[in-house]
Amino acid sequence: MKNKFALYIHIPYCIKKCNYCDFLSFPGCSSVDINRYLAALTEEIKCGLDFYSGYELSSIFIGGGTPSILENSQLDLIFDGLHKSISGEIEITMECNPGTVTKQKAAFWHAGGINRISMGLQSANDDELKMLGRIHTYEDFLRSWDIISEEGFCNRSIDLISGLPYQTVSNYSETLNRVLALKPEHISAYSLQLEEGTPFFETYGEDDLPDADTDRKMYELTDSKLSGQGYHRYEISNYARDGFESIHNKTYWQRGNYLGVGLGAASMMDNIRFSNTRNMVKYLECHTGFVSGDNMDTVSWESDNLGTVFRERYSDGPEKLDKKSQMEEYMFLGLRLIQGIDIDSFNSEFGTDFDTLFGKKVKKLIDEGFLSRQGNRLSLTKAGIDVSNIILAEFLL
Amino acid sequence: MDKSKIRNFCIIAHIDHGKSTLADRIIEQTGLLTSREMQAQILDNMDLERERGITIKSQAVRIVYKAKNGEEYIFNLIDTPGHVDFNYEVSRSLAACDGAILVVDAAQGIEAQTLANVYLALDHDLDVFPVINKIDLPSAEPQRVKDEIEDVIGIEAQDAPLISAKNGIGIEDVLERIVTHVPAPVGDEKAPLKALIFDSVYDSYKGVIIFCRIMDGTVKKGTTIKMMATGATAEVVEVGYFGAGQFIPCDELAAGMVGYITASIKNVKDTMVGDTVTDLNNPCEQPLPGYKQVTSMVYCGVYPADGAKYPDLRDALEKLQLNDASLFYEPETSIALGFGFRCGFLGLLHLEIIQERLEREYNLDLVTTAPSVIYKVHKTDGEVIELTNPSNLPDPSTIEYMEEPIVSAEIMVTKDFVGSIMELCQERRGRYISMEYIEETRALLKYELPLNEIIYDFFDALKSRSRGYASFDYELKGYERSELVKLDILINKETVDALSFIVHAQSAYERGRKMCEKLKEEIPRHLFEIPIQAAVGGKVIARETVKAVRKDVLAKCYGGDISRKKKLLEKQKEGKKRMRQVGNVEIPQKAFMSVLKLDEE
Repeated sequence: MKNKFALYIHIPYCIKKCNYCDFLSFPGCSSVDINRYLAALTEEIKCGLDFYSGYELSSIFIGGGTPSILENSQLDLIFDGLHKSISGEIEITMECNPGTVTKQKAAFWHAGGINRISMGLQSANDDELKMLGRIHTYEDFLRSWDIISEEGFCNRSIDLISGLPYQTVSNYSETLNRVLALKPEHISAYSLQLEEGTPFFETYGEDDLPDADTDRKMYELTDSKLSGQGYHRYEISNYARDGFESIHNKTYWQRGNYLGVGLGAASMMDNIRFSNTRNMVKYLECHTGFVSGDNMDTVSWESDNLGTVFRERYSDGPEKLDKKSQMEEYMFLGLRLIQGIDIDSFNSEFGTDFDTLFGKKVKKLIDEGFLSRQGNRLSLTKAGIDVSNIILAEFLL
Repeated sequence: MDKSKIRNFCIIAHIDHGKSTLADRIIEQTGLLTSREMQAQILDNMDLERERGITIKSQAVRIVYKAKNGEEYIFNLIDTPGHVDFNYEVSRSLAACDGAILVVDAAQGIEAQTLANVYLALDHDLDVFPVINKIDLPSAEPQRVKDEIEDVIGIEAQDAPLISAKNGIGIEDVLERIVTHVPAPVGDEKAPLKALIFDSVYDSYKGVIIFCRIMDGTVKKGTTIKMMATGATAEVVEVGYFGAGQFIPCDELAAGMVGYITASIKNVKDTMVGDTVTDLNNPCEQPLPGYKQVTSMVYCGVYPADGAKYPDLRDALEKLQLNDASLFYEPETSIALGFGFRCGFLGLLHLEIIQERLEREYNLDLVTTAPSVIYKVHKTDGEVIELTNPSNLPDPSTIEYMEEPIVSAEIMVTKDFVGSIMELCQERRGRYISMEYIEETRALLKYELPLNEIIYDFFDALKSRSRGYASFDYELKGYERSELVKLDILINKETVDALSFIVHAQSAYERGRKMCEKLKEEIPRHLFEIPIQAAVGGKVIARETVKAVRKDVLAKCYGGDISRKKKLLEKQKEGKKRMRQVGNVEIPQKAFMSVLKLDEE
């Protein structure tokens, strides 16, 4: 069986940067800039797919930024490079922002192979949307939602954020109700993190955010309302109806291979982590120097040559993860999934004994009610999920 | 050497009144040192001292001055520590001198500490002459300060040199005055050796270097010396005098001279400050008066933050003690903190200095417990225990009564703040003795205060409540019976021995409550609720609760950027490393010093 990998494609453009956002994205760029970037990106996709031609693509995720601002002709450049590498029906997701979706675009996406849409709604309350710096109203969202639904997308996800400044439980509850009425197949429910360097971080402090009890109520409300409507939680922040868990996102938690292309994108292939430069000028420069084709056969990921070939491309790494890091990641990523981790798989993957490594800690955390162990599966309990940062830190070696 | 050409003197000043700067100028202008050789402040050669702007260990320097009368004079300038913790050392340095320069800031006038040191100098029959410094300051009032010196101290001040040590103004005047106003030493070179130890330092090549003033007789290489108090004997290897920043060997030291002796002595404990050095084979009859065994006033537990560093801490203390005979330590164990040492200090400043040196020079990360004084515990069976560690207090039912040390304190403060300072003294269980106005705007307050009320933060409180205008000096008066109780702190129902302290019964509730509040701030939330209780004799008198963490989840873990997620978890783990595990609870190291900060608000 071929090794699999997921492909992430980063489109770092937006109409306007949202007030809470610390993702790598640029608002209001000209089509000339975008086209130059896409030229570099398609080149990188081509080289990457060539380099990993021995691997099988398991999912694709086009994220951003706002990929849906791309015109069909621009997106076509990307699709073009992908088609021949895709075999069979794999999950291909595109992130969309309300207000950037048209019927023509949606039809083109569908025809181009996109089969999953992740819609950034964040809130169904117009005041909150305004505060977040979103370019759309709830009405705008509904129009976009109708379009993608009409165009035949039947794997649709909605992103929500709770714990907004001055948000009340009843406001948030209303957002949940509105979203549930739309019957999306998948919901990602995050809670707000004030990230340094964002306008939110500058504007708001602890006092502006809902207090701990309110925040917790919203968080519990998410779980109870969604569970009541046929969604199951499969990851700390992710809920799906049966059969609609995101294959792509699960790759991250299960430590599958993934290749990130585009500005600042992170990758992990065969236990080597590396990231693209976050500097646009550098990114555009180095795609032309990107070594491809025959040369690549002589490059081993283990060898020093790697440095010379990729030095320019990658701002971080490549870092070959040692066994300790791999085991740590296995735990703190795997436990984010509600199904938890499989202890036998851990033992066979690392040729070690789980209980010798973690037995004592695990027993204590089970006794305290934060972990549960059933047979070979170890998972966070509900109480454990609530304080998962503390629990997961226990698994750093 | 002609004794009439020797002048042995010291400089007395309040902190910041310019003692070290004047010393530098004197050394500079006597020409023995080029400017290039000058460190910024020669007498203060420890980094720490420089940062704090104070001098800790006494040192001496010998310089040559060619006076206006054409004669060359030897000046021995003996430096004195400027803090109340080192009062005894000051008194021994003064005893090595024949005269003293009193430096008074032209703007600030006399301070409590100045006064205390001047009285000390007069007690030692030193001839004191004043110098008014910082006359170039816009706020200088030399005439007012002169009058003040005459009124308060009662020494002639109208012809005092007006100088600016910083800008080198009037230094010549000072030098001439040393010649004319400091008496030449007396003493008989033919009499048996009698020398006063005023300091000693340990040198890894030479062993202990004794700093001494020869009162009678002579000492040279080969003399077998005896320290009269400690009884230690040794054969002299070298004698010499103090060049600026270096030791200059000479053939002999004779009566009237100041210099050093080395004799391959291994331990500074053999050469205690104030002891008398004599010739074993031709001893003097009586030692010099004034020798006291230094006793620690303040004790605290010192523990390595990382238990594995215990041997490092022991080695460091051993090395520090080589140079500091007043540092006391003995091993102790704490349930909360593991293996460490109970250390005794001259005072809180001394404690802080040692703590900083351990951390800085020996690169140790320390946890220190709240400082404690020595309590006398009179048991029902007649036994008297000197208690230095509160957690060792015997069962209350076996205690007849307890005594605590009391100090006589003098506080000098400007009129406007008399009220708030008196209030402070009342709060600290002070007993009012007297108040006199030493001039129209300034009062000298005398109080008796329990030492345990002033070792924590009294000095800081004094400064903040007087906007820096109060100065303070104290000496131990004796022990008094007092209603004392041990306050225990329970964290998650377990008594944390390192947090126990002795407190006056009337303050127990207040202190206990504040302590719980403080600890509530210091202890991070855990996965479970943590009660923090203060108890006296098993009875809980205050309680706070650190609530359990109910939500700590990184809901947004997007994309493949795992390293960021890991960094966050690592930060969480790092934080835990700086904690002490007591039962199930992780207590941050600084929480153990909380008791010191109860009056911060």
